[in-house]
Amino acid sequence: MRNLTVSVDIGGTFTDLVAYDAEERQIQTVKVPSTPPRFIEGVMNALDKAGIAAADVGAFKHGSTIATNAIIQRRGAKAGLVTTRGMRDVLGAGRANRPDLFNSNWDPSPALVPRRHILEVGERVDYLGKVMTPLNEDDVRVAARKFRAREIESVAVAYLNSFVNEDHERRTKEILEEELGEDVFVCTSAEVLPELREFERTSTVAANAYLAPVIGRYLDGLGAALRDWGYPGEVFVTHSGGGIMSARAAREVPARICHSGPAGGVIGGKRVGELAGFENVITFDMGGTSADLSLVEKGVPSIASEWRVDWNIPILFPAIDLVAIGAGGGTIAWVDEGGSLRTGPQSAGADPGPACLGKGNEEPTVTDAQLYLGRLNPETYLGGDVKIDVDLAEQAIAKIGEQLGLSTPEAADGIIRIANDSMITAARLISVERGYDPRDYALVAGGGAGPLHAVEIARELQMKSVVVPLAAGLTSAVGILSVDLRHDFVRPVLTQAREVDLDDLGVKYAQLLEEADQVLEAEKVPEERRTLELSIDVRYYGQTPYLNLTLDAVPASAEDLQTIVARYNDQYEREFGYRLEEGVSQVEIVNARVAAIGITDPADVRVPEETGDAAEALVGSRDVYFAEVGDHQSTSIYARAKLRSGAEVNGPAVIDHDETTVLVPPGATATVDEYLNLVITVKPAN
Amino acid sequence: MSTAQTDTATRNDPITFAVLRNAFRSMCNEASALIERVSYAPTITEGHDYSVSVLTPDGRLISHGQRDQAPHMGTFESSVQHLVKTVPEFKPGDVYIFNDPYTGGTHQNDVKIMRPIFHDGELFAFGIALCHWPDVGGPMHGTFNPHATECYAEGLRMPPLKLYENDEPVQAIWDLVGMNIRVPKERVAEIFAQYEAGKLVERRLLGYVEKFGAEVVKDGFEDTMDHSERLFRAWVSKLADGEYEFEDFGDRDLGREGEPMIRVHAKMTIEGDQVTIDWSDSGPAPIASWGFARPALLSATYDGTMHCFPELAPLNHGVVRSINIVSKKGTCVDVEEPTPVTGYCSGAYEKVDAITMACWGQALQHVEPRRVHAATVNLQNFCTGGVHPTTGQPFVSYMWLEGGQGARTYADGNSFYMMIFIGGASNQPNEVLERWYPMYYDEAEAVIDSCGDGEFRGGFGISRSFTAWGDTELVVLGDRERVGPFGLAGGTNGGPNRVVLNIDTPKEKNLGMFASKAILKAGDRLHFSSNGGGGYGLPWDRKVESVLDDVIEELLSLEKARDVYGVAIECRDADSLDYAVDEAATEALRAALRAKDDRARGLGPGEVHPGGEQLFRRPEELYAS
Repeated sequence: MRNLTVSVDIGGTFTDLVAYDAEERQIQTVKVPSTPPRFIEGVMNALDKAGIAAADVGAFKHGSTIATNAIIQRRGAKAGLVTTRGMRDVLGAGRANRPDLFNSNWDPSPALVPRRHILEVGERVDYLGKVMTPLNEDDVRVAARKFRAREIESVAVAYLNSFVNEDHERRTKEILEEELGEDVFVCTSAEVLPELREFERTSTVAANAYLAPVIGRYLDGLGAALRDWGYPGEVFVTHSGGGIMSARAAREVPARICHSGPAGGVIGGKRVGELAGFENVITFDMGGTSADLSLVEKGVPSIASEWRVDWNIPILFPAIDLVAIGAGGGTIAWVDEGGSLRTGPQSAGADPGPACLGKGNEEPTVTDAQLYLGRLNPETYLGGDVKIDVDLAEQAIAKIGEQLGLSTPEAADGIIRIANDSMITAARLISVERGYDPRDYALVAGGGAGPLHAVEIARELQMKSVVVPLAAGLTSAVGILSVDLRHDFVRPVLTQAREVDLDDLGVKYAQLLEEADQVLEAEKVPEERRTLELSIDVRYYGQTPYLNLTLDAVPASAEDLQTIVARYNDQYEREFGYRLEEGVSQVEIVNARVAAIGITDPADVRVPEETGDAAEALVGSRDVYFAEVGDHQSTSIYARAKLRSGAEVNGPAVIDHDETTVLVPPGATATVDEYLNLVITVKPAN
Repeated sequence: MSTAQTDTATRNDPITFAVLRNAFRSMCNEASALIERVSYAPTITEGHDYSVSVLTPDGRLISHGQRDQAPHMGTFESSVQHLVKTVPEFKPGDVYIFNDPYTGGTHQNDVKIMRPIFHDGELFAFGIALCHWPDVGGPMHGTFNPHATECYAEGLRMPPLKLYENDEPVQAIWDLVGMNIRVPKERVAEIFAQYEAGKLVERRLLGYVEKFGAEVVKDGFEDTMDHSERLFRAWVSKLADGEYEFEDFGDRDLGREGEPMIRVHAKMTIEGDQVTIDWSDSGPAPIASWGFARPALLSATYDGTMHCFPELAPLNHGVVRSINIVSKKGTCVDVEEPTPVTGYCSGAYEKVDAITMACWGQALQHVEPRRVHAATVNLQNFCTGGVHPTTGQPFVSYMWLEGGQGARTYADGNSFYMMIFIGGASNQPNEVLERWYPMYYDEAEAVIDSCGDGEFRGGFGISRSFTAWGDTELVVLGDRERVGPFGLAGGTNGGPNRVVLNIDTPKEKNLGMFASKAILKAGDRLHFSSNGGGGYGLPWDRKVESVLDDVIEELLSLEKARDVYGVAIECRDADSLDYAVDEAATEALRAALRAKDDRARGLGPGEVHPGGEQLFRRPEELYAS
């Protein structure tokens, strides 16, 4: 009997499965179409296609876009919200800002709980946690009565300042559970995430309540399907912070599993970088409609403390920080009335798709440009199942060329340059702009379209290397294999460093460590695999953003606090370029944090011993256009599947693969490493 | 590359042009993000009250940041033009600080730090970073002074002063600034952020010079402007030739006897692809702080224009040179020193912005009715200051309220909407404010019935009332308490902005929009609420389900549903939200309302703005064809 770790990533279009045999150090990958809205069928199809025996499965890990989609498509539960009297419109008002300065036709997306189901209760706690108005329990019971009459499925409770004193929220939950019975899910803002700022906290707990019934049903269904299939074990789910948690835990905090798909991609990219010898990487994943970029420094992905499903729906859980931009293969190029070439934001998506498909879209897309320039193989596009017509792409691009006074190849090259430009801007945003120098990083390219654009983007950013993993289209599922179990806990401190009560801080960390221990116990993590990570959030008093500093031990003395302040000043100066001297601003300790981690050994695939020469993988030639040459020229085409470790491909060349095509422009050299990653030495264009 | 010429020909090849055009915008965005990340004042980190721009050496705007504050963007050109006039010779590494409203600004709080950018020893461009400093001195906390009759009673006014020489701080200037403003030590962060933003723009711009060559980048400046001009003129050509006029009013001039309303009037003339906006028929400059000088008039006119043509963003000189803006010195929209200006934004700016949109709206309604908008909530500059009772530290805060968006011709205005001219700004969390300032908030709640009514209604205003627990000094500079945000095509004006002390108690006192140095004692409660947006079309044409929906949301009272919208609704069970519409009664009510329409015509909240009613077509007429 084997012991397989199976990871399944459900995307909007495809469900990817990776099975890893740690003993044999072997990996198996399968891709099947997703089956919305009954996604579980797709999972079972993938298991079936892989031919895995249920008895051989030791662990089942899972990432999906189901939570995110439930919010985007507003298919969550009928949820209610209980809030402090007077605060009914905290959720609806949000932060009242807009993404676009001038567009008066823009509308915020509707709140997850409509005003009618937001009920107010007499209670008030001040900013220090002192009760100003005791909880009016009758109000809570009236709210319960109304929720019952309205057949509300789940309830969120969010009171002002509950993050410093959660007694009222906790008592409210008790009463609601008592009144509404166990069929109604109740969660409070302080138990979900006790952090300062009422709108963001309310938004997070509202999203949690909105998702709970839907995600609960989904996870139950998946568990049952797997049991029927013969796997009775635990299902682990990836969350936004780049870790996994049990399905049981995820049911309580379903808002955490939003955003988990891209997180898997980043972890996958990080792992690929490590195997290829780069601990500093920028991951770049480009698909049909969008591109995601994120930064991993010294093996640690950047983490954001807040992210948004929609502009006005923030979720406060820690999340892998990535920039998503609307630049994909399906992005449409057009010329505005002033004569400027633009790409996006419109996308032809998968349907009608690029002009070359002839399914109704006659505008050129980025994919059309790549196809016309000879970089894509018309025979094997989307695995060769789809018929495409290069002439249709050419006609669409020629129209744009005429408007701009450019030849068709120039116009096609221009479309790609403008699209690259937007990705370069995004890469700058997560690197240079945050104090990281892209020249110290390798670009790990994934997704169907990423490896076509990667070298040109890297060149522009003066990055030296690009890595294209063997399973570039499955980075996310591969990433999930290596993800640690992780739960994050936080307690607010919100005290100036020089006034911190060390005993009190000690108690907070002790409570956090106890919670962390309990969860590792509940998740059945063996002792030797447990790690507790302590950290502290610090900022200048009066500012909103904070920096997170990792700690070796709980601060126990005035000196420890001074060290924290000094570290903060140093790191602040490194990231922001200046420091505020003592007397100008005090340093505030914002939050104490503990992460409970169950370590997973990263997937370690056996290195094929066979080596080979690039010539063995040469399958022919095509006319490919390169801007450096200014014309189409005959270019060698290699089959990725035949490239063995040690092979070296000099640009210009195109490397074809099932899901992706890799472009090696003139001057660049791709080397196949022992894990069959392509490591491309970028070298400047001239 | 091919050099074929077409009527949209660019100096550079079209791809280089597009790359550079995007580059100018993204370098400003990048520098904006730096300011937001690095600054200290919550007005900047939370309120986003800052901007970044890049200009040619002769002061023509090339680009600005996409989340910057609109009131700033039209003043950059005046600022550089003034700088160039006053500084005999620029040297690399010299950086100037500047905030004079009359020669290049808005109000004193908007402090610009301006960096000349050199290439090969030659002046190549200017990078400007602007932040709204929470205080620049003067008698009032936060510098806003409703009762000033001269700018000398507002705050520190700076001509262009050399803040850095050869990238070294000029201590005397730093000291001068520091001695004249409150909490100067905090401003170290803003100065640093603004200075670094200028350097970032310089680095990026010179990076492109290195890549493409100086001439190509300079051509890129011109191409970018030409492109915007072409886009804009293409729009203007689509509009019918003619004159389009609109007028609206400020609540009152505190400085004049009888506190008369302040009239703002525009006449827009379109002829082919030419457009002139003439403000010279506006009323005289107010004595008190309400008006603005010409640089801010330009900003406001561009702002209103950009809201009608959002695809033109970011603004650049190509649009600027395509609009002929006429004004007369000494009017309320072109004041001269020493007429005070700290209240310009809620005063003249908001009026000019809204009126500009109403002029374009008259022309656009026949071509693209989705671009017609009723007036939106107006700003209330709301400053508190004092000494915090527990920390013993002085504090100054600057706040504002969101409110109702004006209705569109096809949809309601959104509620809880930031002022139209500061879309990037956000509100500030109660939990944060309570930690910093001695006040407890007891409301974040819609003002029921505050919408301007119509077939499409305006958004609702919000009340964020609080109780003080330590002595707090209050300064308010706002507008639109008496004159509501105007409705169009028979829609009514939105509800009022209000600041009322101890509302609904025997101690009630209306502080209004022009309170200065009002003292709140511990236990005093302040009601602070905002405008609803103006409505569009006739209330009795509104879909019955939409009225019912507003009632169920408890945003609209049953009384208003009946009396204004003519919809008879009965609440059968509030617990289960069981409401019923009496259809027969509704039909009768609506017939009666339609037949008599005796609603008051006027400027007040809930009244029907006469110009808005006469000059705009109702949705059924707009969408009939």
